[in-house]
Amino acid sequence: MRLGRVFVVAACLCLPRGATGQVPDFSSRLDDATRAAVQPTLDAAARDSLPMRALQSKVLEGLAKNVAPAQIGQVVETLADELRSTRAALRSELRDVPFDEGEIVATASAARQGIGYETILTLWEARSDRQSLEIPVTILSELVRRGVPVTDASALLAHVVRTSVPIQVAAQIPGKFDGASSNGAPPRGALAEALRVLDIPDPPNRPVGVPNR
Amino acid sequence: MKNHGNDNKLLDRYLSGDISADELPEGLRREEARLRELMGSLDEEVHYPPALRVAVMREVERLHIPLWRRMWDWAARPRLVRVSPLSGAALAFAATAALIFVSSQNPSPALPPAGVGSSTGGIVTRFVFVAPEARSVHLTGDFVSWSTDGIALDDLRGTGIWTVDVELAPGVHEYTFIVDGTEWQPDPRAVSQVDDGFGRVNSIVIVPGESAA
Repeated sequence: MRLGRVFVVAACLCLPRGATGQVPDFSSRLDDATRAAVQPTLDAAARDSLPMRALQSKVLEGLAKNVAPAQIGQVVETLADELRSTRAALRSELRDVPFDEGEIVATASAARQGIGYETILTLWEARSDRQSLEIPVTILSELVRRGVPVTDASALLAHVVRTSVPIQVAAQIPGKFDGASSNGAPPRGALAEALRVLDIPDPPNRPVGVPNR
Repeated sequence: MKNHGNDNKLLDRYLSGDISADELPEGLRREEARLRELMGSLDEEVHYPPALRVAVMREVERLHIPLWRRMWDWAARPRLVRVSPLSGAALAFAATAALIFVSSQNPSPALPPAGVGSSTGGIVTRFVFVAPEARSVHLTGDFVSWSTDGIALDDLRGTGIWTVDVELAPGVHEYTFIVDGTEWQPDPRAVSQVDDGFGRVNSIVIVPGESAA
């Protein structure tokens, strides 16, 4: 009996606190009005297994910025809808692939910029292991936001993923792009310069407009 | 006197082994017998109760050994402990769990509490904000659950360049600075700025892990 208690206590202690994917002490930080505004959305999101940490973080962000509860409710509901659509789109194409929370949030952000799911999914097709694609998808978004054509950016990122370019190097692409762009280079030229500086090999079937090195 | 002189000579010869005890005068022979009896008693082994020895030794130890030394000796003395394999495994499991629990309850005070990388998986990221007129600058974001207390930046040289190093979990994070406790400002050095949904702008930081893209 005593041995059983030791096991139970030890098992409870070993449970990681973030195992549920929720913001610690989230509920205690809500006032009644905000709770009423966001609770239905959060309950539905939990039922649908959406990324709860992202939604709760958005609620707390609104509270910190003194946003009215009703507006927080609207923003969180919109975000939940985006995450739900994103997850459904990924799930429909990649049925047996598990997605982490960061990947879903990054894909939703990319979709918000008008990047189609079929384009984003090319990164999953290029992946050979279980490395998270949160950062590659984010870099794809950032390049498109900077004016790089979607086809160019997606081809580059698929190449980066396929050839296992170190993530520390890939994460510098937007910054190096900005450096080249500030010197007057057009988007495609700035991208080529960024790849040259970072010594990232040219993608095969390099998109038209990227100059040879 | 005369007799004493003869007695001394006879004693010398007796002690030298020249004559036997039987050859001594009767008076000396009786004394020799008493002396032999006394000498014989000294050769006998003394027997005393075992409890007496234990009691005496305990008292001696108590009187002469300091308390800390006696406690140390007690703790350091090897003992035979019987533990079943199952009980031993349970105890080891409980001890490990307790260590994990204690370490998770006492994070380093230099690190913010949530969304921030552990000492093994976190990446130190430097934040810099230039605000010569500011009295205080704080960093907040999803990695601290948007706490308005945030993480204080330091202007160590009084030049208006505020900096802080934060250990962040790999991934993509949204953040902003709070100047003088009230003014929310994005990071002009950030890789990107995004609409926060509440009419303001958040900055983006990409924290690469140590893996391939």
